[in-house]
Amino acid sequence: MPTTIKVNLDLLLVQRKMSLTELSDQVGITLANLSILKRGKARAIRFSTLVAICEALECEPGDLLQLDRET
Amino acid sequence: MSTAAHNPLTRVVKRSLDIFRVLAITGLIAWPLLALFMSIGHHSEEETWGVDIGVFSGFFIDLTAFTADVTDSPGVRDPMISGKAVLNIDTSSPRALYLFTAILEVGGIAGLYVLIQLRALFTSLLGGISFAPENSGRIRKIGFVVIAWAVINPILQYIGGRAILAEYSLNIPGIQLIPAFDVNGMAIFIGVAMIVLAGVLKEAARMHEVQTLTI
Repeated sequence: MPTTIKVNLDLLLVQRKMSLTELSDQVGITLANLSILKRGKARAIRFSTLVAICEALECEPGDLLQLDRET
Repeated sequence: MSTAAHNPLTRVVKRSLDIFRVLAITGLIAWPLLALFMSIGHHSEEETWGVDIGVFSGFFIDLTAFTADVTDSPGVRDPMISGKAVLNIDTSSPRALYLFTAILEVGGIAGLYVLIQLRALFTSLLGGISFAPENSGRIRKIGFVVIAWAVINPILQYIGGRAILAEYSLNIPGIQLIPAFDVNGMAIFIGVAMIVLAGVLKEAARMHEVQTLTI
């Protein structure tokens, strides 16, 4: 398995007791795109998206993204 | 949705391809059956089939057979004229008819394959999918078929022409027919260009995927 970036969006949402729909409303990103991000299917993330999600979830980029090292 | 999907021309081309596909399938099925029925039902008292068989052939015309002294005409240095042309022969030979049918069928199958790929491409465009790896693959396949056809068709025409002309006697003094071999360089160039364009479209599809999956 190659090294990949793991998106901890589902974990952060559970910790904040927030639904994907609520996050979508707050950051102005479509539910479909957030779902792609949550499922780890995204190829890249814009800084503006990262800032908006981190502000909404009151977290740091490092909390959201994690390096999933090759095993 | 892409602009190609909203372009009325895309729909017109797609509908035209639908019609061409039906016509091609009908022709591919009907023509061999027709040829078979014609050869079975052919009676010896009839001189020909009544169907012209197009034979790509080379020709030599000796002008001296038509006029006494050609060299007197200004500018004419050689009384022999040569060239290549499709000769329509109304023959009664079943072998010639079968060969002609086989050559037509091979060409028809290649044409139908291109039509199917083009139709799938335009269906995809109408569905709003322009930059997709499948579309790149379709253009690549069409390119390969065009090249294959440009190479195979002259060989088939030569073999068929040789066999048909061997049974055909043209009793006109001064005119000699030979089977012709002519590779369509432009078709090969178009096929290669299509393969290159398919590569460009593949890269565009990859970039489009990255853009779509950038959140």
